Amino acid sequence: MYLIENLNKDFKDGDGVCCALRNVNLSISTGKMVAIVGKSGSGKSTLFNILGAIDRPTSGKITVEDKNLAAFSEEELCRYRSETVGFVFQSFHIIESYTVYDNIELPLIISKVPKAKRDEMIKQAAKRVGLSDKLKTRCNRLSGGEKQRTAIARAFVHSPKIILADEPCGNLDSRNSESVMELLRGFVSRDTLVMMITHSKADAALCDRIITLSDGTVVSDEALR
Amino acid sequence: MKLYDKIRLAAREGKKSLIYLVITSLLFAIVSSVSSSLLLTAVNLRRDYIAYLDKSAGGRHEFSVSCLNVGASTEELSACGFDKVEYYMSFSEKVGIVSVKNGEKLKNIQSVPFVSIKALLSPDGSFEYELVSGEDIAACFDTPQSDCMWFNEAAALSGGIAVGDRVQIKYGARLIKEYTVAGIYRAEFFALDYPVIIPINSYFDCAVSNNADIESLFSCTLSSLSEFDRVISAAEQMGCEVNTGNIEISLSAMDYVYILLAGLALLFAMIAFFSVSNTFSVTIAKGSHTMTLFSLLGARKSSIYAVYFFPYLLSILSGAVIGCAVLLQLFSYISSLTEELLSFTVMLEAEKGLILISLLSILFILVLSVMLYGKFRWLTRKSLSEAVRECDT
Repeated sequence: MYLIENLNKDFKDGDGVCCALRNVNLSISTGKMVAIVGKSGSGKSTLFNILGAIDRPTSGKITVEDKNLAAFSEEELCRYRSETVGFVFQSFHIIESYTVYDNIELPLIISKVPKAKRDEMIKQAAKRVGLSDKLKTRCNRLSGGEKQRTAIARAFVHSPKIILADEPCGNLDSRNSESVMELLRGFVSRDTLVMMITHSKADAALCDRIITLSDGTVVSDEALR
Repeated sequence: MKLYDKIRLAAREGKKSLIYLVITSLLFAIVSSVSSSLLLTAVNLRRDYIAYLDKSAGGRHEFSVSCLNVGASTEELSACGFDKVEYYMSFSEKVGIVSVKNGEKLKNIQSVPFVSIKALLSPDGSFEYELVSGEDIAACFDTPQSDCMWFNEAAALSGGIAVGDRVQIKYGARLIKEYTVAGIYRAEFFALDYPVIIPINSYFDCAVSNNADIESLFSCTLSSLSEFDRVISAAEQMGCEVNTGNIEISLSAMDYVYILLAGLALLFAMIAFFSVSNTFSVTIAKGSHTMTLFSLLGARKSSIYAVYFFPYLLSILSGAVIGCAVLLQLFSYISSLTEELLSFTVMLEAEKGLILISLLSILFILVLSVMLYGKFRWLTRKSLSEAVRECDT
């Protein structure tokens, strides 16, 4: 799914330059749940942002479905974010004033899915995350676990090939964490990939592969299954 | 994003800032209607005041115009735009009449005003005279180049002038023209005003050739004051002085009122503009998290812009509709107020008011959409990763 070659990312840091990623080379295929771990400042979030087309690399090549993500135009990046990936964040990033239904609908609106098809897709996604009875509830009335499940439903409602999750259980208790990990695990199929940034060894242990970053480089790449 | 979805999202986002949008709408309605009313009052006040003056004067405003020398003839003054120009009289401090017979200046008729035969004998002239001796004045009516002169009986007696005498009109030491006394007349009422009557055109021709400063008085008429400025200015450019009486003062006062009202209208429009742009800045600031999220989920910038533009557009348009309703009420109030205060009604046309509010709306939409776009660009200029990080914190 992802073929990452000589990936570098520099940030301006005052007068100097900070290297967030240095010569990262990875090959990540579908059908897996991959954990990216590392200490703070190791480059996990930078890699997450580049793979999610939220940021551009300084140099290097990222091949996704035979196309170089690094060379995408703004238009192509938008299409990539709306069709190919789904995002889950630690702080949920849902619109609190919208209902669960409205939040899950957003990716479908952006990727121009016809209205007639949307209702069924939203209901299925909500059912999968156990929020069928909360569809008309405003998100500011939901618990943390429910908010994250809404975010997960929003991430996969349009059937993306990749789900990128940044500390998805960071703000959740153990019971909700377990439930979220189960949901993410359940999304993995032959054609899909889940990549997750985490600090939790327990969560990482549930993944098929653990990539460890330190100072912007890959220091270990361990396949568990 | 499809248009239908853009509108739905715009409605949701608009709902979040509903109070600001309502304030904007009401603010625009009030200020645009007041601003339009003030501007139209400013524009129409002078027009209606002129109509009032025209009506009061029965379509006949008279001005006395004095022109140095004979530079301005009735034809030239007519060309300035006066509807009717009548010669009244000419006079000069330096002109004197000298009898040739004894070579002495007739002191008692120095600085005399002259009056034209044509003016005296016109159908509406009220000059009534009695011929004492000599040739009738009327005989010279159709021969303005004549060198005949008529003396008032009192002036003739005091100067020892008789019919057939030769007299000279002199401008200082320069001879203007020599005349023959053709008749002595009696007209008590005019005795002091018109000691001598001469064919004025022949006198003027000679005065011009002798560089004499003769001041002529004309009575000029305008049927409407709508052309007042242009006509008076043209007459003044010819070197004439126009006695406009109170008309010029009152029209100038109207001009000052116009500047004051137009200035207030501009001030109101500016207040509206800054208030509306400020409330929209708040609206955009409130939506920055949602904008980031839309962007993260792959929405194009133009779609996000549209989501925020629709509520703003609706707010201005609803403000314009309310403004039109307020405007009509204001118009009737202003009309009754002017009637009460100024004795005439300022007529404010509803169609013009509606056009003005529409133009103001279009202007606001154009200018504010540019501002909104600038603000939006500023918000989205930073990288998406930075925006997401800001939302996290």
